[in-house]
Order: sequence, then structure tokens, then C-alpha cells
Amino acid sequence: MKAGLQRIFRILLVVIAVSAGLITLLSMLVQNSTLSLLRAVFVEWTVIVAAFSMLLGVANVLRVHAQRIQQRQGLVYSLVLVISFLAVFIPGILSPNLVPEMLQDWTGPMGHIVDFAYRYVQRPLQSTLFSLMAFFVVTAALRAFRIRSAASFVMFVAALFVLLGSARLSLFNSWDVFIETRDWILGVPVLAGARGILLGLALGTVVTGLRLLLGVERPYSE
Amino acid sequence: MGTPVEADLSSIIALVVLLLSAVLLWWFGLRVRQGTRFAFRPIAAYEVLKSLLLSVAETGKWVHVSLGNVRLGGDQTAIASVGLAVLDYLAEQGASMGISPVVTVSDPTMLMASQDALYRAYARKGRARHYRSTSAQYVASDPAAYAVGAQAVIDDDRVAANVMMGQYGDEFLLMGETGAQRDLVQVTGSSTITSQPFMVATTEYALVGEEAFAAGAYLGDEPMQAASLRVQDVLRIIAVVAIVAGAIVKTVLGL
Repeated sequence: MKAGLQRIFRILLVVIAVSAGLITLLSMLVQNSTLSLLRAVFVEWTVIVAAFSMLLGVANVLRVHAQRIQQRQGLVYSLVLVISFLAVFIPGILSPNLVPEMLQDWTGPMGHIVDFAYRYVQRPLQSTLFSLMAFFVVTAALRAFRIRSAASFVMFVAALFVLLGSARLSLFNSWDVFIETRDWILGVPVLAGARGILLGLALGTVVTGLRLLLGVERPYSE
Repeated sequence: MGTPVEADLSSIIALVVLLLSAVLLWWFGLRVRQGTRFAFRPIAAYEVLKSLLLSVAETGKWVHVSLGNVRLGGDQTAIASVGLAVLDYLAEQGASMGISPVVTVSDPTMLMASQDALYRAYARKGRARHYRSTSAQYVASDPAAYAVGAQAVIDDDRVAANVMMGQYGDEFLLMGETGAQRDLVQVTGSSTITSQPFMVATTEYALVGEEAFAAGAYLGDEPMQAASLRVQDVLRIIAVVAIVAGAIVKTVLGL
């Protein structure tokens, strides 16, 4: 009895998922007001589910870091994270209408505290982080250009030409040969390779999407 | 009276490609069920994934699985499902050995999906009570913040292997390079072209291009997965023939 009900439940899940997927797909390929309306409803549901999942995400972050604080693993970092979270989250969710007049500009999602955290903490930190990427690129390039095979030798020579062509040092009269070679490398073999990879990625996405749409792959039901 | 249905040429082509893919999937699926076995070239990254948990279990360390900057319901759903399939495989192997991968995600919907994958893997092995929801960690939605959070996990001495399967931008380097500097076993796959050079530069086992989408067929024994890989091959041949024919027509006829 129980196994029968479970089977019916699984079939129902697949029917709902496949129908929702096919309706959404069709609504994007053909112009039909009913299909568009249904798609809008599905998208609205997705947004609601995603919003609630954010609450679970926040709970997960706090739980993981509470565990770390308890086990004294990276204690300081986890404490900083929890305190920063509370310092931004609490003023952020407080409605300006519910606080004294002098605090009204400071609370709410558009208040001074959230704005300060975004403008003077998050954005500068992101920029700093991306500026560090240059050093990571250098160490990764050094490792990649270590000549271990014919392929890495070809990659090294190509990189050398691209580097010299981009530098535009013009140390001697025929420096243009580096610029022309760089343009050829980037315009012919690199572009051809990149388009080949893009084509493969697109086909992979189509077939994986199709498996999900047709219910061949069912990560939601077992 | 129903509402009118209209479609432009590109939508019709897309519909035809999808229908053709569906028919091919059904046809190859049927052949697989009738006993046909398709041979696939060996991919080193998948061979490593198959024995990864076993080798890590001996050291008593962890495997970190990064699902990248993907979310369910967006245009990255396909690569998200590939990442979840890899996680499912590793989690099932780990459950039977009593170890769980440490998963980091950048979207709460992926947090729920990865926790579900971990739980189901434990449940299949009859060890549901050993499942810990904190094995899957939501780091941050911002790609750079996520990369820094995941980098900290990769840098942890208790991590012996790093599997990254998802969508990554330039921030991939922060994670991949950390793993490379620690000399970790790293398996990576991505749906974006910008991260492919970084993957090759930092990782010994990089899944280039559509190789990442073959995870289900290489790691699982589901016949339809093998069939879908064959569909991918047929579609690639059709695309190549169309490109070559188009180039010839344009060159010869000057259209």
C-alpha cells in the first residue's frame, strides 16, 4: 500500500515537473497569451521559493559559523562574520516607520547603515580582491608554461608572441611581426578553438536540459 | 476559440532542434535498453573521480565540492544539474565509507538541492542518521565573495581533494590556484569559456567544454545517460556539417 502511494507520488512529481518545464519552454518559443500567462505564474512561484530559500541560506551560514565558534575553529573570523551580519541585517530589516525619528535615516534596506556597508566595505573589498588576481594569474601562468609536452611548448610560444605583440615596445624595426602574429593567433586558432568549445557547451546544455525536461533525469524524485 | 499561436523563424529552428534531439534520445535510449553498448573514450578526470573518495578515505581527510555560481531555475540549471550529479556520486561513495564531501554553494536554492543530494545518498546506503546538514554550506551569492569563502575551505589542511563543477568567471583562479599551490588533486568543469584557460592552467584534471556535461554517462550506469551522450555526438556532427556546408555555399556562391 505504502509502496503504491510512493509510486503514485513519484509519478505525480514527474508529471508536474515535466508539464511546467514544457509549458515554460513552449511559451518562450511561440507567441501565445495563455502560455505566457502560465509562464508568468511559474516564474512568480519560483521567485517566492527562491526568497524563502534565502532564509534557509542565512540560517545555514549562521549555523555553520556557530558550530565553528563552538569548536574554536577560525573563531575570530566566524565571530566577525556573525557580528557583521547582525550589524547590517538588524538595521536593514527595521522599518523606518517603527523607529524614533532620529534613527529613521539609518534603518531600512536603503538606510545609511546598509548603504555604508555596501559602499565602503563590500565594494572596496571586491575591487581589492580582483586586483590580487594579477598575482594569481602570474603564478598560474608560470605553472602552465612549464614545458612538459609538445602542447605546452606550443602554448608557451603562442603566449610569448601574444605578450610581445600586446606590449608594443617597438624595440626594433620589424616589431610589427609580433603584432601581426598576435592578431593571427587571437583571430584564427584561438577564435576557432573558443567557438568549438562554445558549440560543445551549447550542445551539452541542450541535451542536459532535454533530459530534465523529459523527466529522464529526476533530481527531485527518487 | 483558442488564442492564436505565432512563432518566428529562429524559434521554429530551436523547436525543430529540440524535437530532433528528443527523437534521437528516445531512439538511442531504446537501443541501449535492447542491449547496445556505446563505447566512449576514456576521460582521465572521471577515472580520478571514481577512485577519489577511496584514496581520500585512506588519509582521513575531506573532499571539497564547489558547485560554483549557479542557481536552479536560471540559465545555469543544466550545469547545476551536472554538479549535483557529481555530488550525488561522490556522496553515495562517501556514505558507504562514512565520510561526506564538504560542499560550498553560492545560491540558497543550490543549498537545498545539495543538502537533498547528500541526504538521499546517505539514505540509499541506510545511514540517514549520519547525515549532517552543515556538510553543505552556503557561502555568498556574490561570485567574488563566494570565491574567497570557498578558497578558505580549499586552504584548510583537512581538505585533500577539490572538485569544482559549475559556472565560474575570473574568480575561478582564486580557488583553482589555491588548490594548485597546495598540490591538491583537483577535478574541474565549467560551462563558461572564460574560466577554461584558468582551469587548464591550475588543474591536472580539467573537463574542457562539453566533457563536463558527460558526467552522468561516465559516472552512472543509467542507460539514458549513455544515450544522451550519443545524441550530443550526433548533434555535433550535424552542426559541423552545417557549418562546413554554409562556408562552402558562401564561398562558392558568394551569398
